[in-house]
Amino acid sequence: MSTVQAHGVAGHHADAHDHHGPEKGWRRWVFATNHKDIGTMYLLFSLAMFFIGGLMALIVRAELFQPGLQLVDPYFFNTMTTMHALVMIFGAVMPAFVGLANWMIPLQIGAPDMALPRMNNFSFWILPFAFTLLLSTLFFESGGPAGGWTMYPPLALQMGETFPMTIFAIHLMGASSIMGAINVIVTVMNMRAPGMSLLKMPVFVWGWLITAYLLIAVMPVLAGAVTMLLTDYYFGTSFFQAAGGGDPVMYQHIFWFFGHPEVYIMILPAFGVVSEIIPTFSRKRLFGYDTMVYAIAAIAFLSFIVWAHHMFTVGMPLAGQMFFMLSTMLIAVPTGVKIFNWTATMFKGSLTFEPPMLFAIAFLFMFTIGGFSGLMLAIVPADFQYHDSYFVVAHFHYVLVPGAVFAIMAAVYYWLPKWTGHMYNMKLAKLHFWLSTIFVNLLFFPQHFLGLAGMPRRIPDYSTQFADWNLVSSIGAFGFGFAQLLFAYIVWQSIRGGAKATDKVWDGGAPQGLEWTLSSPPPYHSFEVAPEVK
Amino acid sequence: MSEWVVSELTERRDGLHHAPASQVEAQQRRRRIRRTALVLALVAVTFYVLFIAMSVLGVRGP
Repeated sequence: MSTVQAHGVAGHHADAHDHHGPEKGWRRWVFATNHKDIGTMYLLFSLAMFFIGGLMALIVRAELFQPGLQLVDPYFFNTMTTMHALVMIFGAVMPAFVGLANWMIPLQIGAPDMALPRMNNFSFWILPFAFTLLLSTLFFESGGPAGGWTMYPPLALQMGETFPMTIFAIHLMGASSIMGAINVIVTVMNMRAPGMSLLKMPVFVWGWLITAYLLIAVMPVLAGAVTMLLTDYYFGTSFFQAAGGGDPVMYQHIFWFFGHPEVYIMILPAFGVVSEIIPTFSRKRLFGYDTMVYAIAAIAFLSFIVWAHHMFTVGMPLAGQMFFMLSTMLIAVPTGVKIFNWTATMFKGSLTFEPPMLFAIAFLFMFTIGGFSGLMLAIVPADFQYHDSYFVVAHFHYVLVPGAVFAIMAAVYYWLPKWTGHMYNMKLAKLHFWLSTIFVNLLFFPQHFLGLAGMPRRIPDYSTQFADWNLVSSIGAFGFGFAQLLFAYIVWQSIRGGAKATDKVWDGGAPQGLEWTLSSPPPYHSFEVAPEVK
Repeated sequence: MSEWVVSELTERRDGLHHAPASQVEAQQRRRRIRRTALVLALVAVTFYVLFIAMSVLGVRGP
């Protein structure tokens, strides 16, 4: 009965399309609507941006290798710091997590695809255009944007001809993110397998669901802020120009209302990844699943009421300082719950240290370092000293590199055999881990000392007293950068071939979740029959 | 969610060709997906307009 009706609804094309595989050649990718293909494109795009953004960071660190101006002029240096941030945030970290979401959410909730596959295609293909637009400004006579990724007015309003390009690129990135977020929410809310209640979902899916709500709430705020910059620049408005009755500080408030949740947009999916990996290699169930979910939700809520801790030094009433200081400190509570739960999961577990687990444990330690320095920055009188110093640079890089980026690498090492059907070279992956961990600490830890000693951020030259730690930091940067070539090689090798991965991949471990019930690699159309979740 | 089965998905050119259990169920499902997506898009647009509107009110004028 249902079959007859099915053909009536599905239309006459249904038979012709039954069990077809991917399209051949470029059409498969340009017209992709399959979540696995789009996920792959997101991940490869992110890897490319990771190297482009990394190259910019290396230019910055090469210039800072010793005092004095050596390699680049100060304007280009500022362009590099600005572009590095924009490329890494919007081009590398966010698309990497969207790629992971595309690959894993349908597999983890037992759905055949994302709910809105065409929009999925659109949201990906916007990105290469956005970044071509942004990166093309480097070839302008006036140079690329150099006012910092925050684009504070009035400095940003002096950008010149790159200004509209940058604003348009940011609008495009925002639109892409919003579409991706809508897709995630709609998929999770409507396409879960029978029996999979919300509190049975893997924590990675939970992390992403909450992230998607954050994205929908704050990306339009960024879009609003840059739209107002645009009208100030071209249409004579005075939102942020004091001369016309506007207020530059208002921009900072609006920007950081977006900016702080943005930090959690880059870290909540990472929490999800780590919550998948640690139980697998501890051979235990995740300790405190419910509290993990509530902690993610609590962090997401708190992220909306802490924004002004980024701008204590602009001056605000004492009550405001107290509120934003205490609300910021409050974030330590749910974060502490998560750290405790991950540690408790490992406690008395039968641990093994495969590459994903190594990266997850490194995440645990080093993200905590970033969290603690964040607590230091939350203290208003201390922040007056730390503000705009290298201490801040050290803090957020600890959160984002050994935090978010390590979690992405952990995720790739965890699910890569599932995606490609081949195991990768474990020895090389462990080498990659150790090189990354050593060099990332060499790169960012000395920046705490530099900041505490008074070195300001965003400067191409510095006093000779800062020379030693800058040298160490630059050596760390080049070591970390070159170690990532190994990562690209390991991934490429696994795509090309290698030992066949089993369906469960981590047979010695205890992987849980629907993705492990599928073959490695999973069929082009997975879960054609809905799995039953008990 | 428990009433839902994968086979409800309607045909798509991308190969999501699962036959719906019934025409009514398929339509309901499509409507639910569209409705959720539209509400979320509306929320995004509202935030965009809201923050610009708040800024307009915040500007004092010369």
